[in-house]
Amino acid sequence: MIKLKIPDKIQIKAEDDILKTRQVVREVSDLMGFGIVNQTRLITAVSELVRNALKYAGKGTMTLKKIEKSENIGLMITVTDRGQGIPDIELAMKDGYSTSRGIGLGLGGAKRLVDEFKISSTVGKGTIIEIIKWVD
Amino acid sequence: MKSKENVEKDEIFEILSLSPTPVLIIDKDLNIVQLNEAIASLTEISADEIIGMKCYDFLKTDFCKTEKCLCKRAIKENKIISEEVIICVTEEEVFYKVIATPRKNKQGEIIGCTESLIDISTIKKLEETTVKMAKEIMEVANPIVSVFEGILALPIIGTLDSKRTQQIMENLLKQIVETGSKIAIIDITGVTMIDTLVANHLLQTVSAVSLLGAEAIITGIRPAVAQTIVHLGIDLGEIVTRASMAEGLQYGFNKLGIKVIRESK
Amino acid sequence: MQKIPILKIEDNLIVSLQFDIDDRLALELQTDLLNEIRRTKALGVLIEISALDMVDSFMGRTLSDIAKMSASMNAYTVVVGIQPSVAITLVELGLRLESVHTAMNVEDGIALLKDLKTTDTETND
Repeated sequence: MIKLKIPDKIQIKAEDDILKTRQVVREVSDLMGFGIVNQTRLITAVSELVRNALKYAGKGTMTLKKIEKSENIGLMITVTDRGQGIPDIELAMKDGYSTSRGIGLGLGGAKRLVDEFKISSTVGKGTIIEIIKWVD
Repeated sequence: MKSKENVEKDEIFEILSLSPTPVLIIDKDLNIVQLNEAIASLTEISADEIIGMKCYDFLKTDFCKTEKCLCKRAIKENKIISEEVIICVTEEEVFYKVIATPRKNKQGEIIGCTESLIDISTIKKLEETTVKMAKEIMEVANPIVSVFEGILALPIIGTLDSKRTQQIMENLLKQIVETGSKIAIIDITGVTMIDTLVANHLLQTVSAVSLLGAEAIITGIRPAVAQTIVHLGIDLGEIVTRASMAEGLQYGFNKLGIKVIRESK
Repeated sequence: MQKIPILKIEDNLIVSLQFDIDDRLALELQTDLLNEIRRTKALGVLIEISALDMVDSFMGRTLSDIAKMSASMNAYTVVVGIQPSVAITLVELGLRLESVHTAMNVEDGIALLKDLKTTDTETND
């Protein structure tokens, strides 16, 4: 059996990378035992976050980590960028909010697809978003 | 009313010694200083050998030698600590409830603890069986039935939780695609209570079904459930509802252009 | 350079999205479709997405945009083949596919387009 070498850190520089991050998350979540629907939720959330990083910061990084709590295992994905940052996070999380054409930053939506969602952002420095989904 | 019997201190010890509940008496350094018959009967090691052993060498539980050690906690916090543990006494692993009680001397200082072991293996087995049965009941109670070509019916029974509702939603969508059905009748006559989370999942199910090009309708909303829905401010919007599964079926027939005729005999 | 092929069946245009599309392709597709609608006087657009394992807000917006633009050129848009897990995720994301009709497969989609066009002619009578 060929052991897949799964990168735990992916640089996001171009649109092609969005597809790459989704493929990696799909593979990893499948290996971890997530069901098909949860896999889809994860790759959709990741797609939103990675696209944001690319759009608003030009580039970013995504890291994957397997985590444990009590008897549960989960996947933690962090998307970091060094862009302009988000001045009003609460406003940005509201559906339909957007600073450029489009239907919103997708942050609110991504949050609904995962179990835990943490965001911290400093204007002028960048944004870090951490999502966690636990295996059933 | 005072009892006529006066049980002396020595007699207490005799009685304790004969109690069917295994009891260990432990000092501050976790050495076993005394035990009763019930403990001795659990193991092949003689009572004399056990006395002087460290508690963790005798019981060997997952809590031993960690900060979760019951003895240490009872002694430190001056509280009765109780946990469910698996103890491997003679080769066999048995579920016990261990209760550690702090022991004090005449001056009130804590000098150790007593540990009582209560066999809960039967209870644990019953718990397991109950969980298994509940799961089976849930699975049987929510079958997706093809009542007519192109029409699926999903009678939901019992109290729904968020996870169960999500699973039902997934199954329904899969079935719709597999059977190519255009109508799904979700009957909630068997649902007595509903909360915001579950109601939202139901609404989401209806939306997801329409994305597949089919239509989900809800039938059998009980008065209590109807009240909850309105009180929670949930808007059923354009979702079609009917009082009973039968009426839902009629709706489905109409939608699909199916006519049912009773032949006169 | 990938180009998304557009097929024509009767007065409908059919597009099958087999892979994830980026900004450039999305824009190209929109332009090509609108040109084709004008050239063929098509009254219906069918977009088949059963190969897509995910629809995020960008893709959702792309589909809605196509539907709105086609509508302004007198054509209905039907999206078919949304997978169950995609449907669930779309709903949870809170994405509304505006102006988009949906059906389960190409066959049902064509039938739906026919219905929509017929209703049009009926109301116009």
